[in-house]
Amino acid sequence: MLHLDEGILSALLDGELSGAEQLEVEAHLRGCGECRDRLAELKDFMRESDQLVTALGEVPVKVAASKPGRGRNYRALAWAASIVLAVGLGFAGRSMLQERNVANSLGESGRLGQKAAPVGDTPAPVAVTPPPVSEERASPSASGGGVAPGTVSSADGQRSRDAQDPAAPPDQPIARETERRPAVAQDLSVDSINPRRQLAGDLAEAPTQGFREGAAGTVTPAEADKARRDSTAGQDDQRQPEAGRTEVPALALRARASKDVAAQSQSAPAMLQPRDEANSYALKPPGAPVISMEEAVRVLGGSIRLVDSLTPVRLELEGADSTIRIVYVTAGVEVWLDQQRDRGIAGFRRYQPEGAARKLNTSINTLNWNDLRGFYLTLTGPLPTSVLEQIKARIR
Amino acid sequence: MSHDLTELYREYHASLVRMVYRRTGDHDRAEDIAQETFARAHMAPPNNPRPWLFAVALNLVREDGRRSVRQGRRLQLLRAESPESAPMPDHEYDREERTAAVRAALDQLTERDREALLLKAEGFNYDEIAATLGLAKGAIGTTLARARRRLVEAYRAGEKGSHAASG
Repeated sequence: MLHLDEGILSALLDGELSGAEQLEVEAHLRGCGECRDRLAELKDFMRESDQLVTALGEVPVKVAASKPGRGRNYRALAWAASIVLAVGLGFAGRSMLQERNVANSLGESGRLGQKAAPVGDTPAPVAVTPPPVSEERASPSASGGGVAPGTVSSADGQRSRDAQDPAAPPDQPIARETERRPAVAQDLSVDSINPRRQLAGDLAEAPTQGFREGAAGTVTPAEADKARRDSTAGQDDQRQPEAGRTEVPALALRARASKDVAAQSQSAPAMLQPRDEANSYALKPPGAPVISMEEAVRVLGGSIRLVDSLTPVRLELEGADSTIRIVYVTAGVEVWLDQQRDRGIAGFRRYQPEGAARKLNTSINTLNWNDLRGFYLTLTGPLPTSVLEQIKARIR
Repeated sequence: MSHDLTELYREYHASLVRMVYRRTGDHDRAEDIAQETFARAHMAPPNNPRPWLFAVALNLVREDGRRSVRQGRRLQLLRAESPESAPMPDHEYDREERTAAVRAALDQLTERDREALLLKAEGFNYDEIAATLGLAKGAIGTTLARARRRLVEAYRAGEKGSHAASG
């Protein structure tokens, strides 16, 4: 009598057999004690092996359980925040047809991923809760940058939102602009060992000093214009920056990289200032002043170098030598383009991100060059130099 | 960054980090590899993203295998020496021991078996595992069966050994 090989038995256990195949196998099993025994053994191995693999590492537990020094917290924050900005920029950025097709074909594997979730483990939040994802998709027109504040800051965002509207139950989607946040909070609360929940908790506890200073930069000029046009979004976008969460990755880098800025940060809650047309940012940080595109262009003498197809997250005026820093986020990390006019000044200041490199434990690379058309530029980011070169090639 | 790459990041980043972390035991390294992987996806958007992303990540782990082990040891030392870290409670120590034992068992598998197991733990189906590892779909069932059995047997053997050693 022929027996079933363990490949088939595994496929049966993993649900990989077609309906017809499954019927055939089950029919055989009914009549074959030996194969039934082998199936039982495989099942035991499968169960125990799943437990062992799960025991290998729940990354979130490790991050949250240890009350770490700044280094650890910093990484957790940078990680979470890079997700935040990645989400935020997804709406602000251009979509390419090819990648849209990819996403469509991706939908299948996304669903499969949901179905076959790892045993005893939690899948990534997006896979678990489709409604929040579609909620976020439904509201991109409201305001590009506004999505980002909601995602990671759900802990705080929820608190501030509850304060604003105590009657609204936190986990019910509300047909308002702020519904993004309860949706994501729901997302987070679904999984008890969801990494983002832990990280949201960490963020809520984390020193917020570094965040205050950059909170002004939560809305880029382009997004601010868009938000102004959409009056409902406008107000709430202005509210959210006070939590200062959008800029977590940027601020995490900045706060660590420049100690004087962190020292200057106030613990008092950031105050909203009335918007004015000249300055699109709602808050001014105590450290490097955030400036508008118009101001930056003026400082640089009438022109500015930008990376094609990337949207600036914010612009800053660095130091006394009139260097403009444009902060971009790409591939989930922050990249800085510093520029100043070539006035024949010797010793162009070179950015040394030692603090950030240490905490991230990632090599941060820098490119410096004179574009021979009047600008000194520096491109900095935790990306391979080859990737920075590609970004540099898109600078206009 | 395009909208769809953001989707990719959101859907797979956590899973990718977890898989690499389980593979290497080094959290920071796992983050770095995930970052590098998505950076590459940004430069050359893949057609079949999930297998591509995980294949790239596994390649990076393989290429850097020795360095990551050294870094892991260094980080362990740093953590132990850091004045900020409190002494570990017993249950955490037990868990760390167990994790180490599982990792030792996992290290005894062949590269292919190990990777198939870790991908399965991230919810990959046979087609996706085959695509990621460049194997025939028909071979996946056998690979997983073998991997599971070897992991369990290696772990049990390790436990027996350590109990004998501790007397």
